[in-house]
Amino acid sequence: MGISSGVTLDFSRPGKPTDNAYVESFNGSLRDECLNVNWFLSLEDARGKIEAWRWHYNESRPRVALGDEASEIAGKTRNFHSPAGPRLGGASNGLGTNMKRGTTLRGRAPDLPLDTLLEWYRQMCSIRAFELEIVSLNKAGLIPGTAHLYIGMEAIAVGACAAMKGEDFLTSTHRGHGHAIARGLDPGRMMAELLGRSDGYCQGKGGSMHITDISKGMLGADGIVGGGIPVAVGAGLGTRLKGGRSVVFCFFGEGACNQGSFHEALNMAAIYRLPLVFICENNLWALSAAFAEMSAVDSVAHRAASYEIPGEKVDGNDVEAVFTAVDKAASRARQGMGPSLLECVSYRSEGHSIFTRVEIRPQQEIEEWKQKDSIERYRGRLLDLGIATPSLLQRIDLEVAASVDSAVNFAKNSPPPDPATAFEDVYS
Amino acid sequence: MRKISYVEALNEALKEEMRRDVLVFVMGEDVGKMGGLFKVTQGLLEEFGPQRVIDTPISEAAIAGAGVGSALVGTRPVIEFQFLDFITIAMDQIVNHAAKLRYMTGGMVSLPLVVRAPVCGGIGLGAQHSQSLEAWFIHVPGIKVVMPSTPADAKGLLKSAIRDNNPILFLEHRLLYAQTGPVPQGTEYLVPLGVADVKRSGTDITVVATGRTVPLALTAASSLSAEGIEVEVVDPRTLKPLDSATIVRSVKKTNRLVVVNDGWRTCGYAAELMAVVMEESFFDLDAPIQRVCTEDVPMPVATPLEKAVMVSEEDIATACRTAVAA
Repeated sequence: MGISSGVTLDFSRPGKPTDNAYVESFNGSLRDECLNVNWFLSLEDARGKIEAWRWHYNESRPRVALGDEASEIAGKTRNFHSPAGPRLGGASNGLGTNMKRGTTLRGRAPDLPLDTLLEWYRQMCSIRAFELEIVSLNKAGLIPGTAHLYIGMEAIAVGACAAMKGEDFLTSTHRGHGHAIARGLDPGRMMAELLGRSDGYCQGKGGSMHITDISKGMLGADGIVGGGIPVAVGAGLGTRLKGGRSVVFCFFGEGACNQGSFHEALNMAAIYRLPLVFICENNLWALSAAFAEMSAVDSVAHRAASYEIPGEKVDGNDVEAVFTAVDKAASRARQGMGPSLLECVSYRSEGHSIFTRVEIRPQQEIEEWKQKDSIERYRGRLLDLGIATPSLLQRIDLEVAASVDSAVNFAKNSPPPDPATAFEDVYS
Repeated sequence: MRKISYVEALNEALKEEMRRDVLVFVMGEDVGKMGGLFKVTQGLLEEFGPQRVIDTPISEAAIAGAGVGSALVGTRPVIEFQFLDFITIAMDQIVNHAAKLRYMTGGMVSLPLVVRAPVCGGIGLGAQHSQSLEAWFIHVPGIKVVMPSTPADAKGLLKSAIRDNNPILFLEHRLLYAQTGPVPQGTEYLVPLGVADVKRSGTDITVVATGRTVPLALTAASSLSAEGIEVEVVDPRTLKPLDSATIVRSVKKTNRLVVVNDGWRTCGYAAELMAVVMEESFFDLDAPIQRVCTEDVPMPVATPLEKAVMVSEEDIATACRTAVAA
């Protein structure tokens, strides 16, 4: 196989025993970081993935290790996975950027209109502003029950939902506000639901953990860890039966991966080759349970091998990386090639819920992750690439704040539900 | 009228509804190539193909979840559990999802899901293949529970269940599968949900029985008739929502009541029937209500042990005599 594909053997240099250790170290890294975390679908796919890793190993890693001192290396290589892409010049335009409307960003993410990249920034900020507002509303005693905040993980919902089409479906989790906002649900009706008001998505019967909007393909947040995964499989089956072309995006946390429903659902989706993208949001902690202690494998993506589906570990704080991976998996699903499992590694900045007072995670770890904040990072990238100016981003920030304010006002002005409605909607 | 078996009636109902509506499909363990462990889905794969007759892995939670998800996107799944006992593995999807999604979303969604499963012992399969767990599901708001006792009801109720927009637990009795009876022809033969049926008219005592215990009650009624006791047998058919009006009407006539159910005695469906009559018709009663249920032990295997635990004709007759003598 190797020989027929043109692979030749190379040997250690005579009299250079250190080559051995070098090669072993390289082999170990290649195995751990590339071969074990990817599922290779074809020779071409394998070449692409290994080349991406090789580039990272040879070009990107040495620079990071040197504190980005050797950035001129980037100029000599093609712009692939490069955090410092080409500086794009040009006169300022109405967007407040120095790029022309309709221009696309070439590079790591598929070519995308700049408006889209700015929209991602807006959505990430909207999610964060929405969640921060919940913190203050909760302090004011306005939220009945609980809410699980998405702060820190915004890049996953925004990157993933950007790969969705109008007819697609998604299943969400108890930590689901991000998915809902990224899918275009109305923050006013969401906030009304959180405040238990009659204009809420569920008229006050569902609350934070059950926000649903069938008209947008949002099949519901879910209060049971792992509960939405088989539901997503059903949505895939139903869609196929109806002759539809929808892809189902199934979100769940790494805690859900230890539920039986995860295994049953992934196996079923794989044997029926259903159009699903399983998106594991690995925020490393399930309340007080550390992923490292509770999972026998150190990457959720490894588990894809059990179902012979592609599995990929993604930087969940990098919205472009998330989009690229999810878009690829979604295309695969649209082509009838079946489901994929993506593990987006991120971190929740806040506690498990607004209800939870005890924080068991090491303070140092929390601080370290704050340094990797997805919004700050993306903001820096937009500025670095010249896609946005500080004043444009500031304008977006102000617009986001105004829109969350109006959502809160809408919610506060919505009347509480009539007690008589407690007895409605049990049956159709 | 032609006579067909309970299994044939169910099979006919599935075929007719699948022909009528392309969104109806069945899934479960061994429902396709094998035609179902008890042959209820026989011939469906050949007629409707693998897209609509789906053999699944042994994954009860995912089967139920797939039922929920496919109903959410507008299809009408009929899922099968080979034994009701196996639904315990799928409780999250049935109780936390199917039963509650409509309510939790403020009525935004409806969930046309039928969950079929056989119940109760009688063939020596032991404690994990013999349970009548209907009371668990009747307890949960949001689910309807149906339990037919004749081939005609089996067909008419299953067709109605498939056309209903709610999650429905459709409980069949293994010992009834081979029973034959007259079943009307015509694809629009339906038995409405939530309507009880008086299976035998009588004046001296009312027996409310469910599922397999209905034919037992009818046999007991025949022998009691020889003793001069005329028994009225009422079959709720739909255990939830319960047609309590028909039961109360009968109790007002006979003033005595025996309730019979294959579930366990403690906190069982029989207890609920008693409570309903106590609330709605206490002053019509001339005697304490008698309750005939499966004894509070796991189902044993050996035939004499199984018989000792399960409801028999004689148990029903004895309860009737006690109520009439009181």
